Amino acid sequence: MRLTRSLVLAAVLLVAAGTLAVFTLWRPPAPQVRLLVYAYRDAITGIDPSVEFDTGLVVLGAVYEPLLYYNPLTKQFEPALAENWLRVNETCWIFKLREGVVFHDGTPMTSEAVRFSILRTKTIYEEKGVGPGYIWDSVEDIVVLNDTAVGFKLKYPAPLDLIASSAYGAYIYSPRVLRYAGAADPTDESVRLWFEEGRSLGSGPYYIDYYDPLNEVRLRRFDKWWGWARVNNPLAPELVIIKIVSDPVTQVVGLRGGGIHIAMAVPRAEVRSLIDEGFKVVEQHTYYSYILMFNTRRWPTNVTEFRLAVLHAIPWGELVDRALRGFGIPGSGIVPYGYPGYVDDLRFEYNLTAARELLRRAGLEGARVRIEIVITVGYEEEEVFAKLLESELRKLGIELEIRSYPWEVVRECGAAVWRNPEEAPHLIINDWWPTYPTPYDYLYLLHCESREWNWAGYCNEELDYLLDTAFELEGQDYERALRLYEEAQRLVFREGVAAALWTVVQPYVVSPRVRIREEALNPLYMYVIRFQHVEVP
Amino acid sequence: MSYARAVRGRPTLWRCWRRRDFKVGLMIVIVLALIAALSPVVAPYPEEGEGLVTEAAKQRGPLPPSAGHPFGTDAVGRDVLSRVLIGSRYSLLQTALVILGSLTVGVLLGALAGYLGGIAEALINYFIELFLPLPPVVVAAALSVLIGPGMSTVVLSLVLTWWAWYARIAYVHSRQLRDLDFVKVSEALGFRRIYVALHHILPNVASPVVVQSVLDSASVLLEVSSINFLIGSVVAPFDAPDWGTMVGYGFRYITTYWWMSFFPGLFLVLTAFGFILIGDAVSEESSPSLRRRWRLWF
Amino acid sequence: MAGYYARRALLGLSLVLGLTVVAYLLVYVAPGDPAYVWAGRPRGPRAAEAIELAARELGLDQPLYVQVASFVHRFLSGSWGTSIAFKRPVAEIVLRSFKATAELLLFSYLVSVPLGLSIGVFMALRRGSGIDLALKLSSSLLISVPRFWLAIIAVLALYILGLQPFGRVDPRYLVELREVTGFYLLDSLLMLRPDVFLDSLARLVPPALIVAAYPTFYIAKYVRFTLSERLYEDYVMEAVSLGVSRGTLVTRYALRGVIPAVLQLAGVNFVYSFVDAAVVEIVFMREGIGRVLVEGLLRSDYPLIVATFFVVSLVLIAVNSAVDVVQKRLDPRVRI
Repeated sequence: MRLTRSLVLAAVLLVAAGTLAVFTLWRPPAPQVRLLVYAYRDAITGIDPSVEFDTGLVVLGAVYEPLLYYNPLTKQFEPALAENWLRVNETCWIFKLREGVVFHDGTPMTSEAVRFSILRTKTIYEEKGVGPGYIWDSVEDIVVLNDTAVGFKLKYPAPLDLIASSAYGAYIYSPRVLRYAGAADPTDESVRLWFEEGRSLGSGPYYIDYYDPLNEVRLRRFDKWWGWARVNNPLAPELVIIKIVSDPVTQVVGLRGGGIHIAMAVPRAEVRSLIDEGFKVVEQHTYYSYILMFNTRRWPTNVTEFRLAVLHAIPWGELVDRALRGFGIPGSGIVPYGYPGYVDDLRFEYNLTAARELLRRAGLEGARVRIEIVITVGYEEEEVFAKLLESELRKLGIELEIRSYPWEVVRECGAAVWRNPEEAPHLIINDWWPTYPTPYDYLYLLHCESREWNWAGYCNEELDYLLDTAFELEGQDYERALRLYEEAQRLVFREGVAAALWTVVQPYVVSPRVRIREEALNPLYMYVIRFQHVEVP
Repeated sequence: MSYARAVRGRPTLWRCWRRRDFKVGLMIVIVLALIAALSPVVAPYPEEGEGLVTEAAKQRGPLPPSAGHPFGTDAVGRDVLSRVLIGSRYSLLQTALVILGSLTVGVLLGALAGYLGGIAEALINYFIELFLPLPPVVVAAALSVLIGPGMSTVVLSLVLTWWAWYARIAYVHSRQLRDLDFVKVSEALGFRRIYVALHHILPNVASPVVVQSVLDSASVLLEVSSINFLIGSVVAPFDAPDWGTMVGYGFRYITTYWWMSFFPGLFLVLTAFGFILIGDAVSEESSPSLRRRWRLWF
Repeated sequence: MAGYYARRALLGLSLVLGLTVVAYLLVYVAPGDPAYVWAGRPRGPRAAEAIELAARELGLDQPLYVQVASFVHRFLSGSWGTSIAFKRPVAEIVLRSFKATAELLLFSYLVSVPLGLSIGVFMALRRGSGIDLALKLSSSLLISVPRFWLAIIAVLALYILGLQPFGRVDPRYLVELREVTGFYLLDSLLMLRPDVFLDSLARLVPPALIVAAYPTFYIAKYVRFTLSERLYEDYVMEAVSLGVSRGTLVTRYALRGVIPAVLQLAGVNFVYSFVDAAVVEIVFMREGIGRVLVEGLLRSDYPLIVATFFVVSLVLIAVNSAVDVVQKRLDPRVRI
C-alpha cells in the first residue's frame, strides 16, 4: 500500500515536471507574418461606408476607395477607381472607371456599383438624416453609360471631382451587399448591421479580418487589389492591426517595447525624447481645427465688444506652444491653413489694454462678469487653453467657469443655443475636420440654417448670402467663390463670433524598423495611413 | 446593558492611546487634518493650488522636483506641492461625507429593521442585500450621466453602496437589543416605539457601527480615489485637486513628468496608512480576548 | 438543509429581479426624457425618430409597472439594446469584456485566498514576534496603497526592466488564437499551444497580483485577528493539556470556524476588487469592463453603462450567493 502510494506520487511528480519542461523549453517560433501594429486613439464608431461619419474613417480609408483622391497641398487629383473624368458642362460629368478592379468578394467593380454606393449614401441621408450623404446633394441622377463609364447629372453646378474625393461618403462597394444581408432595399437597416458585424466589401488593398470596435481591427492584405503592381512595395504589411490604445502613455510604452509600430497619440511632450531614442517622427499637416465659438444669444457674449475683448485676452502668441507643444499652426479666420479659402491676416492680437478699452465701450469695465466655457473631456489642448484663458480673463475682472463634458454632451450643450440660449455656455470649442475640400464645410458652422453645428446661435443674412452664393459659384467660377468665402470670413472676424484657435499638426511616431512613404498620408483623410505605402522589413 | 457597555467607545480609546501604532496613525491623520484646514496658508502657492495658472506658473512650465518646488510643477507649471496640500481638503472631505452619509442612512435603517421586525425588517434586509453588491464605479458612471459631473456624484455613488454595510451591522446589533430587558421594560412602561428606538436602540447600535466606520475610512478614501482616477475626468468637477484625479491626470505624463502622479499617490498611501493603523488598534483593543498581550504558550 | 438552499435560491432570484428594477430606475429617472438619454442624446434630422424608437423600446407610453415588467423581461432574456457608440449589441460587447475581467479576477482570487490564509495563520501563530509585526505593518501598508498607483509603478518598473506586460497576449498570437471560451489561458491550452499559454500567463500575472494585493492582505489580517482570538479560548488550553498536537489544533479546530468566514470575506471583497480590476486593466492596457465603462462614459452610451451595471452586479450577487451556500456546507449553523 505504502509502495503503491509512493509510486503513484513519483509518477505524478514526473508527469508534472515533464509538462513543465515541455512548457518552458518547447516554444514554436512566433508566426512569421509581415505585421504592422498601428495604435489609434479612439474606439471605432462604425464601418458602414455610407453611414460612418467619425472614427471609422481610419478603417474605411484602408478598405474602400473613392473614385478619386485629392491632395490639397499639391492641389493634385490622384485617380483611384476612376481613371479619367470629364466635365461635359456645368451640370454633367462623366467618370471613366478603371478596368479589372474587383471587390473583396471577387465581384468586379462596375458602373452599377458606383451608382449603387453613391445613391445609397445619398438616400440614407435624405431619408434618415444620418451620415455624410449630403455631399451628393447636387446630384440629380447617376447614369450607367456602360460597364466602365458612369455619368452624373447635377441639379446645380458643383465641383464633382472634389466631392468624389471626399474622405467620408464617397466610398464604392459591391451591390452584392444586398444579397449578403438579405435585404431588398439599400437603406434597409440590415445592410448597415451586416457591415457593422465586421465585414468589408470594398476594393481597397486590405480587407477586414476581425473587428472589435473597442479593442482592435485586423486587416489582411487583399492580394487581388489592382494597385499592388503600381505601388511596387514588396515590403507592404500582410497583416495590419489597428489597435485602440486610448492612453497616450501606453502608446509610448508600446512603441518602446516593440508592440506598436506606429503611434498617433503619443504625448506631445514625449516626442522629442522619442526622436533621440531613434524613433522617426512623421509630421503631417491636418485640417483638424479647433474653433472657439461665442454664444451670441446670451448676455454678455451677445455684445460684440465683449466678444472682441475676450478674443484680445487670448494669449495667441503662446497658444500653440503651450496647448500643443508646438504641434500646430495658429489659427486665422475660420478656414485652416493650407485649405482652400484660407486667409492669412485674420488674426487677433493679445492686448489686454485693447481688451479693457473694448470692455469699457461695452459698459462692462470693472463689472464682475461670470461666463462659462464648455470643453471636451480628455482633450488636453482644450484644457490648457481654458486654464490659460481663465487666468487672462481674471485680469480683466471676468470670472471663467470651466466645464468639461464628454463629447456627446458638449454637442448637446452647443446646440442648446437654439432652444434655450441661457442654458448654453458662453464659450464653446468646436473641433472640426472636413469632409470634402470646400471652405463651405467650415463656414457652414456659422450659417443660420446649421442648427446642429452653429453653436454660436449666430444668424446673419449677409453672411448666409455670401456663403450660399459662394457655394453655388464653386462649380462655375471657383476663384470668385473663394473671394466670397474670404469676405465672409472678414465679416466673422469683425463681429468676433468665432475664431479658429489652431490647426493641429499630427506627429506619427514610427518604429525605426518601419518606413512610411510620403504617399501614405493625405491631410484630407484624418489619421488614415495607406498601409500599402508602408514598408515593414 | 453590559453588552452595550463593552462596545462603548471610551475605554477602548483609552487603551488604544497606549499603543504606538495608534499614536503614529493618529499623528498622520491629525497632521493631514491640520494641513487640510490650513492649506491656504501652508501651501507655498495657494492660488496655483486652487487651480489658477498664474503668470509665474506659465513662465516655469513643467519642472522636476527641486528646492523651490519639492514636488515639481505640473504640465501648466503649477506647483504640485500646493496642489497636493490643497487637495487634502478635497480628498478628506469626500471621505468624511461618504462615511457620514452612509452612517446616517445605515444606522437608521439597520436599527429600525432590527427593532421593528416584521415587514420593515424583511424589506430593509432585502435592500441591504440588493445594494451590497453594487459596484461603486459603475454606479458613479450611471449617476454622472443622470446628474452630471460633480463632487456630489462621487460621494452619492459611494454612499449608495456603502450604507448597506453599516445597516447590516446596525441590524445585527439592534436585533440583539430588541429582546433585552431594558427595551422590554421601556415598552411595557408605555413609551412609544419610536421613542424607544431613538433613545435606547439607536445610541447602543451606533457605537459598533462608528467603530466600523473608523476601520473603513481607509477603504473609503481609496475607493473615492479609484473612482476619481478611473473616470474622474467625466465624473468629478474639472481640474479638481483631488488626489485620485491628480494621479489620473498625471498618468498621461507618467513617462515624462513622473512627479505629477507620484506625489499625490504618495499622499494617498500615507493617509490610508494612517487610517489603517488607527483602525487596527481600535479593532484589536475592542476585542476582549486580544487585549491580553502574552504570546501563545504552545 | 434543502430548505436553506431553496430559500437562498429564492433570495438570489428576487435580488436579480430587484436589480433589474434598479437598472430600470436608472433609465427612468434620467433628467428630461428617459427615451432621449436611452437613445444616446440624438440630434439632427433623425433625432425624433430615434427618440420615438427608444420610447417604444422602453414602453414609455404604458403604465410604470408594465414598463418595469417589460424591461425585466427584456433584460432577463438577454436583449439589452444596441450600443449607441459602437452600434453593436450591448450584450456582445459587455460579455466579451467581462470574460477578460473575469479571467483576471479569478486568477487573483485563486492566488489571494490561499496565500492570505497562510500568511494569516503564520502571523497568528507567531503573534507578537518581530516577524509578525513586520508582516502586519507591511500588510497594512500594502492595503493602503491605491491599486492604480501600484499598477502605474509596476508598469514603469517592468517597462524599465524591458518587459512587455501589456495586453492579454502578444498581438502576433492574437491572430491565431481561436476563441472558444474567451479565457485566453484555457483557449491556448485547448489549442495545445503552450507558448501562447505562457505568454498570456506572463501578461496576466503582474496585474493579477496587484488586484490580489488587497484581498490577500485583508484576509491575512482577518485570519490573524480571529485565529488569535480562537487560540486563546479555553477549549484550546484544554486540548493542549490533553496532548493534541499543534498542527492538528490549528487545522482541525481553530481554522474550522475561520475558513467559512474567510470565504465570505472574499466574496464581499469581490465587489471592490472589481473596481480595482477595472482600474488596473486600464493601466495594463487590457481589454475588460474598465475599458467598456470609460469608453461608454466618454460617449454617453447609456445602454452600455446600464448593461455593465447590470452584469457586474449580477455576477457579484451570484458570487455572494455561492459563497453563502459553500459557507452553509462548511458551517451548518448559518441562517439566512
